[in-house]
This record gives sequence, structure tokens and C-alpha cells, in this order.
Amino acid sequence: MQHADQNWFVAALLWLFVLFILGAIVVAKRGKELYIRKIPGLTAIDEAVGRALEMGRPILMVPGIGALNTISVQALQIFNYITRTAAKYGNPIRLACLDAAVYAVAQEIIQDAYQAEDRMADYDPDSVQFVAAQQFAFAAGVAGMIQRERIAASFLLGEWFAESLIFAESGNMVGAIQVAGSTQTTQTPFFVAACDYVIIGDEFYAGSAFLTREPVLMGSIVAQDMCKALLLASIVIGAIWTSVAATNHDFYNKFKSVYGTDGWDRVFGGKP
Amino acid sequence: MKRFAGLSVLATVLLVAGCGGKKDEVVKSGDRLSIFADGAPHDVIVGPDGRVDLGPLGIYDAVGRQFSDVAREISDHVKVTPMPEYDIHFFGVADRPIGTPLDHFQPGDIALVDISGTDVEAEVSPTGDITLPEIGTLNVGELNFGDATKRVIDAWHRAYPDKPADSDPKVLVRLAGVAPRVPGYPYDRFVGKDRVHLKIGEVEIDVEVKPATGMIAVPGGVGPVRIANQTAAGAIQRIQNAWRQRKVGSFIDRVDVVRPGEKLIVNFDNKVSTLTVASDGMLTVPGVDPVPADMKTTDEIVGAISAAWAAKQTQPVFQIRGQLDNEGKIVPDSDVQYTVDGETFVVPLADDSNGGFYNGFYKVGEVRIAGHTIDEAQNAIADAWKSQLSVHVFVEKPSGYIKHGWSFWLAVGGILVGMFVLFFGLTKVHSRIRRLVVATCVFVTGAFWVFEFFLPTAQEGPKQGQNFLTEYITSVAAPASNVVSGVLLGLGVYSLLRVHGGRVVKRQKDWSFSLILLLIIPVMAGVMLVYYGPDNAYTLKPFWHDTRNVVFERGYASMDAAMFSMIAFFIMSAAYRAFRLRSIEASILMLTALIVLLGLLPIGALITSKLPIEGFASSLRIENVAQWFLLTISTPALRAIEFGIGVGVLAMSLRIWLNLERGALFD
Repeated sequence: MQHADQNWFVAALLWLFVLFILGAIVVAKRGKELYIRKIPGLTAIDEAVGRALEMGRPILMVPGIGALNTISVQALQIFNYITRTAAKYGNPIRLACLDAAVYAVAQEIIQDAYQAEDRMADYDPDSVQFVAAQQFAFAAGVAGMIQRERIAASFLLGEWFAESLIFAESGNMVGAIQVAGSTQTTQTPFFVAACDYVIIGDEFYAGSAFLTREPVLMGSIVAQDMCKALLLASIVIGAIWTSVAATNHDFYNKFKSVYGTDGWDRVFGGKP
Repeated sequence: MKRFAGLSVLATVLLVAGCGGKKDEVVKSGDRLSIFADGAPHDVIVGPDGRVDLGPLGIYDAVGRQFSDVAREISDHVKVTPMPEYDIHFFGVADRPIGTPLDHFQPGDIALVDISGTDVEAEVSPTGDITLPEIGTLNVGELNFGDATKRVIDAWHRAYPDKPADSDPKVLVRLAGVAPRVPGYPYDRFVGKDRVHLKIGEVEIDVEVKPATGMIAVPGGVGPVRIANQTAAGAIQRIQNAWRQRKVGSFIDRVDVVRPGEKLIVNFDNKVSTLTVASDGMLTVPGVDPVPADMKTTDEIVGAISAAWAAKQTQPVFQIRGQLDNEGKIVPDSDVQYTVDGETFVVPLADDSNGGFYNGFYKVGEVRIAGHTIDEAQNAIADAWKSQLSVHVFVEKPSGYIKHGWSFWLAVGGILVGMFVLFFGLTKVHSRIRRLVVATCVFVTGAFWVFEFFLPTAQEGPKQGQNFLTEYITSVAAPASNVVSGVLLGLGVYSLLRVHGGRVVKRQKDWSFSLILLLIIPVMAGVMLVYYGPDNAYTLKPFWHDTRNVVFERGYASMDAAMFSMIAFFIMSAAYRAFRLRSIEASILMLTALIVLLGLLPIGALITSKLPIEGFASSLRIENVAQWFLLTISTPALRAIEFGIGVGVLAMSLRIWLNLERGALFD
């Protein structure tokens, strides 16, 4: 297990990030207008639902193969928005789960979406399915579902591993419009190659803020950008410092004379 | 939302219930204690005089005192123990002036002579002679290793005159403690595979410098010390530094042991019986000789029963035949022929980098034999056979054969009733109250992880790197999570049965596949439940072993692999579309992919093989360009994305923890 006392610099940085996030949320709650750029993958939701309506075929949503965590919760939040849009127009939906906990929460979320749109008569409890608890058994089940039902649109958002391309290519074969997003950088290239729209990296976490425009979420997204700017600054400073150390410049020697040869270690908890 | 609330409450209840904490215990006469002191464990029994004897670490009055008090006294004593005198030098190297190259022999050296793979160690006598078995005595005094080698070959020819004169044996001669060095490397510094003679006070030991780490293990609580590239003086300094930083803290735990008159439940070869330890401390198990049980742990009793059983059995004859390498060792990833009592099997060996193994030598079980000689493999299999008997020993309330009292079942029933009351109560109350309960549960469980991360941890001892909350991760949080997952898996299986059962009943399209699924679920579950049933009792029964192999290894695993292999074709079709030259971005993508691909293939290196391997022009070699793309372009981009993801996770976790999140799941 990692603990804060193994590297106090990182722990302090964590607190700084927390302050940024909470501060920005407070500012947003006070009514300051904040801007988030357009995310093509999320603006394509209406297009995909409209296309499915025209074709009269279902929409598929898969919240990845991870356990119930921040990634799958975020995916389900976006799926709630998609389901509400689909329920409004009477589109059938399919939501396939690998993890039982995700399945339990997904059922509630989808039911809530139909309830919110006052379309409970259209709600089909079997539209949310627990397919399998094993990776490739799940892949086979969902690929079969895509082929048999010839889905019109698929949303693949969540934690993905080797099965990502099986889903994306199966969707491509049946001509579905596909929006995918993953926090796994190893799977993003596969989605880029096979899907129409891809949500990359932390765009995924901006999803609910982009769709709901809630001040708390908007503030949090702005704070994330501030944290990234801080990280970028630390990278630049680190690169300059390493270069100074390599040239054995006077400044570096003065630093050493003040803090000793292990000055960097003592101040930052890691070697340059 | 309601279900989520119930689960959160369940997690919190389990978490809080487990946080009772431990009381400090008092040492009693006759206790068997496990004491960790000065970096090493000690197993001691508290004598009738109430004292614990830790040998060189001292004798302590313990009876009637709390564990923590005794541990503190031991720690204080160990801290003031003076540092022993350390001395280190090469094993088997006589005194020489400092800096003298160790490339020739002197009287008092120990020579290592390798003749065609057989090592012989021989001390150089005062006259410079060494004596080798079957070859005789020869003089190597003041000779360097090359000349000594020639002299050994000459002596070998004299010892075997019938061998052809041009058939020299493969001979290597060197000092036994000094591993071969790269030319020019100083002889006064240690390298991996050197053997060193370490003197600690009055104690002297010989140890080898580990080739991978350059470390030696120094006893007395000091632990591993890196001495590679160090002179003897430098190595001693490092050992002294390590001694100063050694773990001096001590901790005491009571070892649960069996005493005369105690009842044990013994599962011996799948036959369960209740036995009593006799007044003389012996335990009589039907079918084997009595074994000593007084002051022994249940694990020790299991070992004694297994040994007693093996002593009475006629051991089967195990024979192994297989592909051997030049050193006569079994080649990993090969097939071996395994014969037990005349019955022959072919066993494929897998390679897990720790040596080959196969999970199922008939009558024996898993044994690692790749990389070992035939004799070693046969001995290992025989040893495994001795310990493969199913023996389990439990005291009073054993797991697997638990006889719980009424209080246990009352507590279980109370918890279940409480959970149902809580669950239905939550569905009836106002949503604001429900939200408050959920938010409180989430905050409490989240706070556990936050405090566990930020609270300082122990710097020494067996709990090094842990604080008082860490142990609750494995003892409370993980089991609670497992309980919740188990309950939810039931919901998942219910979903499967409902969806596919409906299809079969309504004879919808492809209902036959649903029927197969419904039939295969109980078959898979049944076989695995029997196979991994109480104490793995059936894992050694051939029928269940084979049945499991058919449904799992041959059936499920093969289909799983088939699904995985389809990815290769999907990559081809996706790459074809991505690399079509439709736009500038696609063209850049294709060009980059082509360079990286060629950089990883031998034929790619051939294209730029005429370019020099050093200097500026070498950076144009295709393998270097590919590496540049991967390390300078791709890796920073991926790291930037990961930074963003990390911050995103932090922000979302914080919102959920502090009940700031908004959306369908949280409103």
C-alpha cells in the first residue's frame, strides 16, 4: 500500500489539487459563468439517437468491463442522458453489463430515465442485461447481440481491455454510428481506428458537466484544467532544473551548498 | 438509488463492526511466543521461571507483563547492544599485498577446477601442489590460471592414457572464491558470484554475492547488503551502515498451540474423526503411528501426520524421461515422459520463468521440474508424493466443520433482520433523509481510505509501512466488498435466467442457444463446486479431475482463447481503414506506423544497415527512428492523457465523497 509519508511532496500536491477543485466549485456555485469547449463525441449523441430512430433499430450502451468505480459511474451518468433522449422518441435500447454491481446500478439509472421522461410504459426490464462475468464470454455475448439485433448506434464508454476492438468492429460491420471513450490509453487507438467519435482521456470525466451544465460539475472541470496547468509548470521547471544540474552551473552548486548534495531529495522527495 | 443506499449502509455497518481494536495481552507461563526482535523471528516457550530466553539478545522476565512492555524492553536492549567487529575477504584466497591481481595461485589458496562440467575444489599446499581425484597431484604454485589449466590437461592425459591425444577435456581453473571478471576489472573489488568469507565477531560464514543484485545476506538482523563494486573496506563500511539502520523494534504474538486433553478434529485422507491429545502429549491417528502434539501448532501436527503416513507407505516408483540441455537439465516448454508404477503419461511442461511446472502429475500434483536434472526431478516428485495426502487438523471450532453456538446464529439472524429493516425503512422514508443516510455512509467509508493514506506509518518491524487502519483493509473492507459482490452476482445470475428463460418459454428467435446457456450454468457451477468442495477433497480424484478438465480447460478456456484470437483479424480490418490515405492525418498515421513496424522487424534494420551504429548518422537508422517515435512522441502524449485522467478521477472521487456530485445517480 502507498502512503503519504512515503513522499510528502506528492501528498502536498494532492492537497493543492483538492483546494483548487473545491475553490473552483465554490466560485461556480456563486454564479460565475464558466466555459467548456465542445466535445464532438458528446454532441454526436443526438445525431446517433436520431439515426437509430430513422432506422428503427436499437441503441447499444456498454459501460466497459470494469467494476463499479468512478469510470463506470461516469459512463452510467452519460447513459442516463442518452436513455432519456431515446425514451423521448421511443427508441429501444440495450445496455450490457459484465459486472454485477454495475448491472444493479444500471438497472436503476435506466428505470429512472424512463420515469423522468414519463415513458414507463416503454420501459423493458430486459433492456439492461447481465451478459457474463468473464471478459471474452462477455465479448462473445455482446458481439452476438450487435450482429443479431443489427444495432443502429453504439456507445462504448468505460474501462476497456482487449475486447474493445471486438465490439467496435462488430458495430462497424452492421453500420452502426459509434461513440467510444476509454480511460485506458492502450485502447484509445483501437477506438480511433474503428469508431466515428472518440472521447479521449479526461474528456470522459467532462461528460456529465458538458451534458448537464451543472455549476458544481463545471467548476470541477475548470479546476481540473488548473491542476493540469500546475503539472505542466512542474514538468517545465523539472526539465530546466535537470538541464542546469547537467551543466553543473554556479546556481546549481549554490543550491547544493545550501541544501547539501541530497538537496533535491530533501526538498522534493525524488532525484532530478 | 434505494438499492445503492442499502449497499452503502451494509458496507459501513461491516466496517464499523470490524473496528473494535485489539486489547494488549499478558504473557503467561507455558505460552509459546513468536517474538520478532533485531530483524529476525524467534520461536520461544515461556519457561516455568517466567522468563523468555532470546540467546544473544538476552533473557527477559515476561510472565504477568503485557506484550507491549516486554517488546519495548527487548527493543531498548537491542538498541544498546554494541556493533560486532566485521571482516570480509574472498573465500579461499591466501593473504597477498593489496592490489595484487588474483590471477595466479599461492600456497593456502583454494583452487576450483572444472573438468567437463564437474567442479573440484582443492587447497594449494605449502609446496604449491593440488590433489585432484582420479588425476593425482600436480603443482600449480605461482602459476597463472592459463598455465595451470594446461597442467591439469596434461595430468588428465597422463591419468587416461587410452584417450586420444587430441581429445582435450574442457577444463577451467580459477580461485574458488573469485568469479571470472571482465578483462581490466580490478581484483580488489567484489563482483556477482564471488564467494566471500564474512566474520561477525566470533562467528564466521561463507556467502555468495548474488549475481543479479550484488548483495550478500548478513545475519544478525542486518539483512541484505550490496557489496558489488566495493573493496573489502567499502563493504565493511556498508555492512556497518546497514547494522546501524537495522530494524531493532520487536513485536510479540502468542502462537496457538495444542495441549494435552484438547480435542482435535482431524480430516485424514478424507476421513474425519474427533481425537483427543493424550496426557503424554501424543496424538493417535488411525492408520499411522502416534505423533507428538503437545505445544505444537495444527500445521506442525499436519506435517507430523504426513511424515508418519509416508514412513509406512510403499513409495511408488517414479521415472522421468525427457529432453535435456547440455548440462543435463530438463528443457522448459518440452514434453516429459512420466512413469508411475509402470503407468506412463506424457506431461507438457510450461515455463513460468521460475522453472517449469505442470499442474497435475498423476498421484502427485504440481511439481516444478524444468531446469533440474532427472535425479532432482524424480526426488522432487517423490517429495511431493509424500506431502500430497489430504490432512487437515482443526481445534475445537474448525473452519469447514464449524459447530457454532446459538449466539453466533442469533447474531447472523440479527444482522439479516437489521439489514432488511434498514433496506425497507430506507425505501419508505423521505428522499431527503435517504440521501442523508447515503451521503453519511459514503463519507464514512471514503474517510477510512483518506485517513489510511495520510496517517503516518510504522517505520520498522513487521508492520512497517502500515498504520492502525491498514489491517482493516484485508480484515474488514475486502470481506465486506466480497459479501456485496456475492449478493450482486446473484442479481446478475437472476437477470440471465430471466432473459434467457423468457426466450425459451416464448420460443423466440435463437431460443436453442438460450437453452444451452441455461443447461450449462448448473453443469459448470456443479462441477466446480464439487471440485473445489470442502478441503479440495475431490481435486485428486481422477473422475472429477478429468470432468473439470473437459468443461473448463477443454471447453471454456478453448472458447475463450478462440474469442481472443479473433482480435488479430479485427486489428487487420481496423488498420486497413485507419491507414487509407484519405487525409493528411491518415497519411501521417500510416507513415508513422510503417516506420515503427519496420523498426521492430529484422527486415527493417536491414534497410538502414549500411548506416553507422555510432555518431549522428546512427540516429537515422530505422530502429532508432522508430524508438524516437515511441519514446519522444508517443510516450509523452500518453503520459499527458494519463495526467488528465488522474486529475479527473481525483475531482470525481472528491465530488462523490463530499456529496457534491450531481446527476441521475446522485439527485
